[in-house]
Amino acid sequence: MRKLFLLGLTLILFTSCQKQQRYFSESPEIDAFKANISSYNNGDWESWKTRFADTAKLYVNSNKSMSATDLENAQKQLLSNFSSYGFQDKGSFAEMVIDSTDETWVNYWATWHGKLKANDKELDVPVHITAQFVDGKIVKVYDYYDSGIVSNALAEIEKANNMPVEDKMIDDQINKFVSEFLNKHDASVLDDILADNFVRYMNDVKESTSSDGLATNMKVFFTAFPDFKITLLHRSPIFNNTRFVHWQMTGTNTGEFNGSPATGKKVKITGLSRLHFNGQGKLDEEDVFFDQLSLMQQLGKTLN
Amino acid sequence: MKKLFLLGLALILFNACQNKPERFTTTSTNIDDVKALIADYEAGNWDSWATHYADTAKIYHNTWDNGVSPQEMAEALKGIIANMSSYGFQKKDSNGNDDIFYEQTLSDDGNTWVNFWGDWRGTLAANGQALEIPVHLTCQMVDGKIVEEYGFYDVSKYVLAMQAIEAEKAEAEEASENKTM
Repeated sequence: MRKLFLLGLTLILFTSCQKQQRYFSESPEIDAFKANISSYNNGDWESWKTRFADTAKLYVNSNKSMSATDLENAQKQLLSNFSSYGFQDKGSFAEMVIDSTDETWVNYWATWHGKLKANDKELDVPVHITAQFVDGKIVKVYDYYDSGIVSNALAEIEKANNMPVEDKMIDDQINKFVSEFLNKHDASVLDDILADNFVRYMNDVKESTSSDGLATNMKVFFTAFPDFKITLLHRSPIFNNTRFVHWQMTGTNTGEFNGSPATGKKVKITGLSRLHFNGQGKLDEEDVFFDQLSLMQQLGKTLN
Repeated sequence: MKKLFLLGLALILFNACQNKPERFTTTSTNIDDVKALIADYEAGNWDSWATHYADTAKIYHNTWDNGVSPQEMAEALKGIIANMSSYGFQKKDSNGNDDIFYEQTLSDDGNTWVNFWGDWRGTLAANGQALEIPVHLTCQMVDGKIVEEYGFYDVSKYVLAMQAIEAEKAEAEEASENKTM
């Protein structure tokens, strides 16, 4: 009987000893979290989003929540300023705890590193993220970091871009752009004229983000209209390194245009462009507006 | 003999059990130390605040590389507080739940860390603007003292608010100078 009692005691003590494990340095949730960091680093937003519950709440330096899609959109806009970015694996640390209310949280500490397109400046932002998992999905995330490290660097670029440059410099650049590139189709001048972070919008659609991209896009027009010619009709005064130009394009469609055979028709359209120059006198943003329908109609196309 | 053996086994298991260090807890003397640190910060008891750190402690707020001493951090924090009419960590959220969280972990390499999460609230003395800054601190503890502290929070909310106040002041001064001319 006593033996049985002792055996029982041993078992009771042994089982009472088996407390629930609450700290983990490895777990499926940690793996899922790290996979999410990789998706973010690779810009793979589709797989990034799949690891969040539909109702997930994300708190980024705030006690007001946003959805995963909200954060995706905000990040995409911010990251467009960077030529490379991501959380660095080196020095990062992840752990999982099951807290006293039995919630499962992954805690993560790391450095976010980014390189700015405009000036190649490299930024390091220490970040802490804590994410609650339910059934393998993230239901809550809290991010803590100093957003000023990035916003100050962006403000510096903005300031440098708006350092006034001489009107003559801007005019020389515009003249060269029109006469050498647009009218003589010589793309070799673009490197002198365009900023590294150049971006061009055509009728509100981002069309090119580099001199090569612009050359490729314009080649479609140069091929379709070998006599493609731009004439500047009016120029606005320069304000904040910005000049608006009212232009006229003429040409004869003797080449293939975007897959359509040559029509031999002559076209004449006008449009408006907003040209912004940075502090070094380089063109960094061009917004082009023109009536695309009119161009197509002059080539004999109809809406039907 | 068998009885003795079983009794022995029971004792060994019980002992092993008692000596097994907790990898996670929300109650510990280290957590009490960090709670006292926060209370001293809120009360402005800087002498007492400093006693929670080891002499050689390094504090890293929003940086991994540029650690400062507790004395330097106290001066930096005092500088911020000087511009506030009130400040501190919110005790309960809008639903009446606790809004400050503490936990202690024991990492694989045997280090003891106390993690703190809280919502810092402050009011700017100059214009009454309210600031809300979520804060995370993680403190490595040795013998009841903080030897390393890492802080993560969006201090730029404070910096931008102060810059706006400075800009407004400069504008007002310029306007009054123009009037007298």
